[in-house]
Amino acid sequence: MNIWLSSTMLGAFLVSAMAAYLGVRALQVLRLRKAKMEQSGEVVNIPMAILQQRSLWNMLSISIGVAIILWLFKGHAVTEFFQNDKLRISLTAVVALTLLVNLFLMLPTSQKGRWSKLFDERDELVLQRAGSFQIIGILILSVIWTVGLTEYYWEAGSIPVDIPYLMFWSNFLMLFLSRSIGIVYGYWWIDRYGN
Amino acid sequence: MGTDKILNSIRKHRFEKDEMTQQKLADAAGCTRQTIVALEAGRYTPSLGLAFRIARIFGLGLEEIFEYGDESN
Repeated sequence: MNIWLSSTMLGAFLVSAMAAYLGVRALQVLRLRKAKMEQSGEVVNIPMAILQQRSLWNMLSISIGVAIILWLFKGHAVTEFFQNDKLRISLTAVVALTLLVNLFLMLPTSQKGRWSKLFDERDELVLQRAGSFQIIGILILSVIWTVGLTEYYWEAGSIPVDIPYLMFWSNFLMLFLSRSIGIVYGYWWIDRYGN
Repeated sequence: MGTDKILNSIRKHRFEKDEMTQQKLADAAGCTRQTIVALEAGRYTPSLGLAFRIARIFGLGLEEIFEYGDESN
């Protein structure tokens, strides 16, 4: 073993050991700080509400749906959408399935039957506030679509007919995604700062 | 706005009432256990309806359980 290799290995070992030590120390400090805050009553672990859990699952399902949609479009032009039956059917199926999963996960918001015991005024307050996230989400998406399409198709002077269809689907997905984000944020806020 | 602190003694009264569990209180008051936990931790201010229901479960008046905690307290 030459000196260069052995010194590199030693260096790598020392750096890794240092990183591991710093990581463990950081965890210890964070745990200690949390324990102190819990003792002083600053932090109380409030169990997750069912709506909160469902919203997290929702965010995951929509993220997976969007990832699949992007993967479906890989290697295809957006303008192929109406020409390529396989692509159109696959995309529509993914969007529909994502929305169905979302509707199923959000059944507790119906407040009927067995769900009524899992949903109360605190959940309703969070749900009401999440509505503003939907408005912001749709606004941001509109800006992205408008600026993106204007920049991309400026020279052509018009956009392909496929685009409004995709905008429609994306609005649906954003509507559900932003509500879930709003719900998760709402619980985070209310658990720390009260209503 | 929104900075009013409503203090409560739900935890104390729950233990005095045969160590009633949070779930039992939640079921009786028509809310979730998470809300009871949040109330006891002072992280949620209940509606008047819920406050009255909780007071009624303990057989007490509203002000015996809830009090307004202003800056001087």
